[in-house]
Amino acid sequence: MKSIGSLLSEDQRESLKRNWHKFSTNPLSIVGLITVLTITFMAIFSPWIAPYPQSWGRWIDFSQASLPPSWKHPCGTDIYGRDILSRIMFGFRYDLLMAVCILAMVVPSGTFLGLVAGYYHGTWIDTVIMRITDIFLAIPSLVLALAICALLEPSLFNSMMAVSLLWWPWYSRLAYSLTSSIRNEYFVQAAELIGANPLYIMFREILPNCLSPIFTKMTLDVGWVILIGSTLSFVGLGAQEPMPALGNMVAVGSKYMPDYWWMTIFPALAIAFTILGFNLLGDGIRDLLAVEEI
Amino acid sequence: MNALRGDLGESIVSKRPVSQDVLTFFPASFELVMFSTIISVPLAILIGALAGRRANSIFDNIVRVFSYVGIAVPTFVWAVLALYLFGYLWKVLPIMGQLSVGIRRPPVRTGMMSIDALLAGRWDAFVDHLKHMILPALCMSVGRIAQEARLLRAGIIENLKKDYIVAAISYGIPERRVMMTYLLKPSLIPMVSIMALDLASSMGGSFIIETIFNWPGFGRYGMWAMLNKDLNAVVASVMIVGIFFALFNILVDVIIAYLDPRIRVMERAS
Repeated sequence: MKSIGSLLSEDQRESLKRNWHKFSTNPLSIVGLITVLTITFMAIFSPWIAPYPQSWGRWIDFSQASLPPSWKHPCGTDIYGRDILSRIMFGFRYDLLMAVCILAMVVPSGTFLGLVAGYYHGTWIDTVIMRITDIFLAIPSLVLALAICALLEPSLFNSMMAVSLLWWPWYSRLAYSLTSSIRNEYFVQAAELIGANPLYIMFREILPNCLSPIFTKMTLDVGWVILIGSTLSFVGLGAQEPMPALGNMVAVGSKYMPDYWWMTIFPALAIAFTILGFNLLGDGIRDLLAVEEI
Repeated sequence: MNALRGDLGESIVSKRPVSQDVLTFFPASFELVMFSTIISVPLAILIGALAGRRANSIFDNIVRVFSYVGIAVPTFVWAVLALYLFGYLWKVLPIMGQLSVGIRRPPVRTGMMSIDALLAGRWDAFVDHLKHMILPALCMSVGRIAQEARLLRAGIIENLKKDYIVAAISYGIPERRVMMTYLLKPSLIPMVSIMALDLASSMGGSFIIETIFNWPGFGRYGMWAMLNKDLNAVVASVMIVGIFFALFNILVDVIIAYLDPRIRVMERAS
């Protein structure tokens, strides 16, 4: 049986090793990587590794209600007797799912618009796309997300829609600035001279050169998307009870704050660790790919 | 078009013109955001400058950890923690509203209560109001302090390598003087340019903070309008935050032109 290593050529293995060495010199990046891997693992396998999988949804067991942290319930239980640790694991699941869905919608659309605007730099296409981008960037994202969410029916899906609607301008602006500088390079001019299709030039000549900044921004953005998403669910405009989203759990727990502190503190810590992990990992990747400040 | 004449329609819930509501609630928010700026900018400059000057010292490492944590932890988590710490464990600061119960409200002139209290010569109200402002303003500014200090630190470390600083140090110019006259000004530029964004996001953050701390300001009004689907009020609050964002951006451009002579010269040449 072939191992994964032998699928790569000698050169690829060599560069992988070198990159890993460069990445691992910064202990903070390693901490970020470990945090992200742990959280992702918990998110994917939560139904199987959570100690009390029934805590996911509508489950009431008043004999176990509002217990402080103990060996049986490491993070305590909430007022319905649901295990908070299990709910945090499921919460990772929804928060990561939200981040992945939002980025999957936002990155391709934003990048495409930025590419088109940057390629037709100085024409009306550029003006139209970039002015619309500016309008979206002119309002702080949190306020716009709150407004859109509030006018729709509050749910996880709608909060995802709201965040995606205001997140693409960052990518189109990034892709725009990259494209409008790359399009003056000789290889693009050569391709134009041969008479290549504009779409071909955009996607095969320019896009590969924009990928590493975009990828870096994506890693850094996972943290921010989770931050906005958890803020939305904190004010009650995101995922609804009994769905265990982390911001939601902080909001519900803070009603019982002085006495039942574990209902708030542990989900809050979970949010902080998630965002911190993704930020550290993103910084590490930025240093590795030598991307200038995004 | 009516918006240009200052008519923002009527609030569906409060049955009053939205522009009147905005005028009532906005000063309190503005006061809070300005207070948090007054706290956060000097703190960020102090922390960032010290950390950058002594890179890789213990203090610098503490600042780095703080800046990572400060950026990563959402505002509402700080607010909830502050409520817990100061509301129940260590009751030194008030956590709700603008004034304590026993104190009479000073007459409204500007809407910013600290200034109203000063105008009326009411020291008790002024001090009490400042105490009420500390916690919300701090929660609002933790993220800003972290981010701004981090940028300033990076700027100082980068500029320390520049020839003119090395020359100034080797001339024997006192360190304090090098720091204040030559190093700080160019290093402030990246920090100032992020300040507009930060100020605007504080306006956004005030929606959350004011709701949690029960601060009768524009953010709480906007949040309340959103939860009640009061469309005219929602549109107005989003628009006003947007306008402030633009104003802050212009202000920051002016400050940067003051800090960076190159930009001034370029403007004059063109």
